[in-house]
Amino acid sequence: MIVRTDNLHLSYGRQGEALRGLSLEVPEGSAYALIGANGAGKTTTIKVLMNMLAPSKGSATVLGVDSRRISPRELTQIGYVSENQILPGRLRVGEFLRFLRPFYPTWDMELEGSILERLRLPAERRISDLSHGMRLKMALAGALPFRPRLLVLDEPFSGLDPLFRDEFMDQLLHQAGEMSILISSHELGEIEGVATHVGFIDGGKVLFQESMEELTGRSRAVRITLQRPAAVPKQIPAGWLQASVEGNVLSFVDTQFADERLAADIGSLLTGIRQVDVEPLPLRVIFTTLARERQQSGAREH
Amino acid sequence: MIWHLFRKDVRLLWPFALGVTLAQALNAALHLVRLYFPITPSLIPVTIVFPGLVWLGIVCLAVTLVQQEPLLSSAHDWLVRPVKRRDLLLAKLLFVLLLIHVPILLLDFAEALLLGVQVPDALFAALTRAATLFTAFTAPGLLLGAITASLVEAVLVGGVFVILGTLLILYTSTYGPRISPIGGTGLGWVPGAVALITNTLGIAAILAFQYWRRQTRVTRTMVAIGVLASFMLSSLTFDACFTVQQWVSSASAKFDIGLAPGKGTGTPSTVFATGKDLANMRINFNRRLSRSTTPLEFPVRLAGLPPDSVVYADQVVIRLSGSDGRRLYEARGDCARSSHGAGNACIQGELEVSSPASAGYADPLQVIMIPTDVYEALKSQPLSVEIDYLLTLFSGRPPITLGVSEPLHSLAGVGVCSTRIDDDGDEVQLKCVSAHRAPSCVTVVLENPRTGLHDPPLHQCGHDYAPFVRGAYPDALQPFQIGIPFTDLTHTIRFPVDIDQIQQARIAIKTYEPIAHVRRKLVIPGVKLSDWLAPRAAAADPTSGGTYRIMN
Repeated sequence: MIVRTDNLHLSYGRQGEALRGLSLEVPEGSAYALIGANGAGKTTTIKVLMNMLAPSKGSATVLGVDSRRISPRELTQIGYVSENQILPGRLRVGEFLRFLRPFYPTWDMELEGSILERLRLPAERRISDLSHGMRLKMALAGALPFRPRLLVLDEPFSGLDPLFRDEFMDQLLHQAGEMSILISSHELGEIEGVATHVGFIDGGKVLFQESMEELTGRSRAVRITLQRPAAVPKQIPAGWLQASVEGNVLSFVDTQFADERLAADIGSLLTGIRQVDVEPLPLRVIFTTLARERQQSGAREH
Repeated sequence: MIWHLFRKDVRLLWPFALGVTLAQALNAALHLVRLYFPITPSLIPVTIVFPGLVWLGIVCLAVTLVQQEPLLSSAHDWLVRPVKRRDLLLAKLLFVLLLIHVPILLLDFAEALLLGVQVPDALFAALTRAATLFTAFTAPGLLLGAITASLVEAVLVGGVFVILGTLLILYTSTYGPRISPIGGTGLGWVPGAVALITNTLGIAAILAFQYWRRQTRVTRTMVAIGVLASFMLSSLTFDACFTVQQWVSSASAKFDIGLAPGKGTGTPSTVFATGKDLANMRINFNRRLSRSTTPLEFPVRLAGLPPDSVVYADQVVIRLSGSDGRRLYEARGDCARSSHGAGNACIQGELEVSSPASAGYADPLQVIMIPTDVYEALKSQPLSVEIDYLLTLFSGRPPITLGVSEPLHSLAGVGVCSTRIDDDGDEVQLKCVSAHRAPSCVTVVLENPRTGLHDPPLHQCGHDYAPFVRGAYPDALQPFQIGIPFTDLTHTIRFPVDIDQIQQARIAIKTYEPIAHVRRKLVIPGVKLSDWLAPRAAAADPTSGGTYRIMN
């Protein structure tokens, strides 16, 4: 694992706990998307990982090193871009990159040039004169030329117009190569096509995390048309969520989908089946279904 | 990487650093003008404000420098860059050294050279001021930058410290001897130097902690504790300061102190011996400030004094013990520096005796003022009187002469001096600046070499035993001045060398420098206080004594 946290807690004093036992694992070489609503704890988690904030309990390791002990040696392998990142505003774009170069033994001048060209960053402009989007591009331009082993992106698309977002994404995918990416976002659409793994964070906890392949592979929308008016069986499998009835049709989301198991479950619970339709689900629906279910089960446990 | 980080800061902050240097250059220029020409009253506020602007500039620049990479932030880019904290801190120190202190040092050095100060002395003074500015302003500025999030916050926090500090200084200057017996004495530099050294070490430790750990709450607590400790250091005991002074000066003196033969006829030196009632004599402490005192006179001989020397008592402790050895009364007199100008010696708790050039001894009359109720309670019983002296021996330098209207002259042991007759035409003003500390004691005489006549000597002491120039205001040089009257505009007093002879007159300047600090004890056993009552007091009403100040 390139990033791992275990039972991470962080309290902001009177403002309460921002992290409440957060555990996540980012496999090496993956693009891990940390998804959650605003205030869920995404940025706090990333700041703990980057040693910008100290956790009050639990542990976090980045590149195998305790986050509290991250040294310049590890930081030469980590790129970081955040919507809240404060760059030295009085430096010009070119000056900033010239300032950064000596810190990174692997800095690639050619790559820097091509990134500047792709992102159309004006080398002579002061950073403080750049727009929000251009500043995010500037941060990206300062995070990629040394070919980081881990790229951490904290809400990188926030406030970006679609054109900028596409350019940003293009550059990122163009550059991705072997590096691991940890990206936080509250927009599912933004990470689709990028993320290989996903974690859902809510209330300072990761409610679930797995690879996108597994998640989409085990989630299906199921519609069962019966010969007579349908009813939701009294005891349904734990993986069937959001079960509802409309006339002769019983619908649910199967979150533990497997062809044979679904057939067996339907056979044992229902009779008079006319038709069964099974369809893959968009990521948004999978998320909202799982998130709602975890929130409800959390509330029940509470 | 230190040089790389330093260059980045230079790129961003050079105009600010240039501003501080220009303010210092203007400050030096104003000071030079002030020495060469009489300054117009309208310019006086400017000369007062400019040094303050330099200080403020140094603090603000130090804060801004640190906050280029804010330590309180959790959003600044530098936090995720492979920047070694050690390199960052050293780069900041390099910046303050090369862009703040070296330019100011060069300006101070140039100013001293322009005034005619010798190169080694000018360099010593400039280096001393650079060290003082660093410890008093730069280091606290760096710390302030490390524990605050913005310059505005730093200015507010710094402002609170300045206000508290000013109130404390005002309080100690008003009630100084009561809460800080050392403050106004020649030893006053010791607590200041100890505080500066410990502050600097403390600041270095706290800065390093904050740079490496970035635990602002802990760091702020450490700062608060440090500030409190610093205030407490200013209340070092007199004895501890004197021990430090002895260690620093390390010279010894071989004179002794004892009872003089006979009743004594020397200069009276008075100690207001107010202190602890150890015999439960029920002294009414509420009435201390206005209680009457009774003077006792002990003829004292200081024998074995080097010729042309002065002995000065920094502190006198008096103890009265009964025949059984039980201590009945203990009192202390600390001698503060005189602020009474020319012609007045130190007036409080004094023992200031001048050794005649050849005799090798001096016979002052030690007058001890004890509370009348203590005297009344103890006057008839046999007592042992112990007097513990903390003494400083001053050695006189050969006199130097200077005309009454001279441009700047370098005078050995005094500094660079000029003289002029003041605008009223009734006194000669002697103005000097010194690359070392100003002379502790100066005796000046206006004399006419043609007639051999001279005016009464003026003796001025401003005891300061510091081994370096104290303070950073307004520049690296220590100023002092004396007004020497030669005519009385009311025609009441006639001076031997008066206005008619003033153009042929010259000033003879004799300075005294502290060379040794010693402890001496005088024990007088089997004493009845009534036998040592001062003759005038014996005839007077014992309740008619003057007021005095509490010394403990």
